[in-house]
Amino acid sequence: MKLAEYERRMAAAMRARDPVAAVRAIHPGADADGVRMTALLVARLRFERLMRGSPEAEASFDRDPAAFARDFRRYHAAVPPRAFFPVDEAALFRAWRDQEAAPPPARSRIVAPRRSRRR
Amino acid sequence: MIPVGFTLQPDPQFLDLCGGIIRDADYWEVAPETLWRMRPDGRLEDNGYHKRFCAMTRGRRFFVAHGVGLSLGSGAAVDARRRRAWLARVAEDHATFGFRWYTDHLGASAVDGMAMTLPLPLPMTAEAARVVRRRLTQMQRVVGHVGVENNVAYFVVGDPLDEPRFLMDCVRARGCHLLLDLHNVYTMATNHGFDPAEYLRRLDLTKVIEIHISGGSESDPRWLPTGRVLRLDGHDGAVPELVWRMLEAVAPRCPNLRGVTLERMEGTVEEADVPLLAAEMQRLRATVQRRRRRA
Repeated sequence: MKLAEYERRMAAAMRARDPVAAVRAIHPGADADGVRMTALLVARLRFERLMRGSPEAEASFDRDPAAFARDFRRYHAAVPPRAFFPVDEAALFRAWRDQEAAPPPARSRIVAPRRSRRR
Repeated sequence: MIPVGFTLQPDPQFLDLCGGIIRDADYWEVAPETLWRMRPDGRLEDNGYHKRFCAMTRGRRFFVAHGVGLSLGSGAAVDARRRRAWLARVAEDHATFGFRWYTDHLGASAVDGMAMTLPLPLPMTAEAARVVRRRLTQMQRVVGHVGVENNVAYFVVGDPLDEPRFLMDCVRARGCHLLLDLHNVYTMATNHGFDPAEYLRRLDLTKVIEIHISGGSESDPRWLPTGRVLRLDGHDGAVPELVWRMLEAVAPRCPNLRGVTLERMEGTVEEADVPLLAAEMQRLRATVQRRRRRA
């Protein structure tokens, strides 16, 4: 496998729901605990980058660590880690949270017509 | 005399608590990227710590650059622009700090254009070694002496005892060196079940420019479904005795060694830790001096 392809698959594997299966698809003998620990540390380092860049996120975490951890896991799964610096990670997180809080787009409200279902 | 170094972390508590240890060091190690922030137009500019560390350049001590973010093992074209900007920024810092050498970790910390931060293991292939060598050549255009640090990988693509061969393949060019991190060897040996002495035996120690020592900790058994505990390279605890013994054994066999650095991570130092860290710096200096007498 070419290195570029290896990179692409490894990047996806680290955020996959089942990182062990994703890495073992590339390297069948990869140690499951080692893969899980690596994926965990990638997430943890991202979490620390966010904490350094966002006082708001830090305050949310302090208020309710369990709820924030749940949010962070969803964020990490949904948003590729394209920020290399804390402030940029904070901006990504803010954008994701704003999007999560926004009402569903108008089109989806139109497509879910109770009236038509009654008919 | 082989100089002893200490890490400078961009963290006010760390810098305040470790002030005496920092002053006691012969040189300082900085991760260049921890001194930057990104402007909205994508340019990398100084953050507040840049100015603070810059003020320390007036004196007899010197700086070395040890990054984690360049990503030596990334070949993806999608990351090429970022890497160019990164190196251009290191060049600006080099003009300020006059880095004696510049190193980064074996692995890929930016993968497919994404910031993994943790360097992920590379396949130990000829292609991967070529990519690392190319990156080192690019680094050498900025700082003449460059190097690769043996990294900790919690899973390995291949035989962990093949890594010395791979590392030597990566640093075979003139001016390219090995940064030998002994706690990383210890951590890898603990987690992957090999003899650290065997790993060290397979290295060409004439390529070692710098040695790192540090401590770490064990993972929480609740983190993994199997309950297995892994040694972590957290730079957050005391240097293990075995690492000290490895240093005593290896340092005299590194004829081109230019420094030994004690590393500690920000956010891991409380007031109660400072005496231990100070004692570790003293022990490091004594060990390195013994090396000189033996040589």
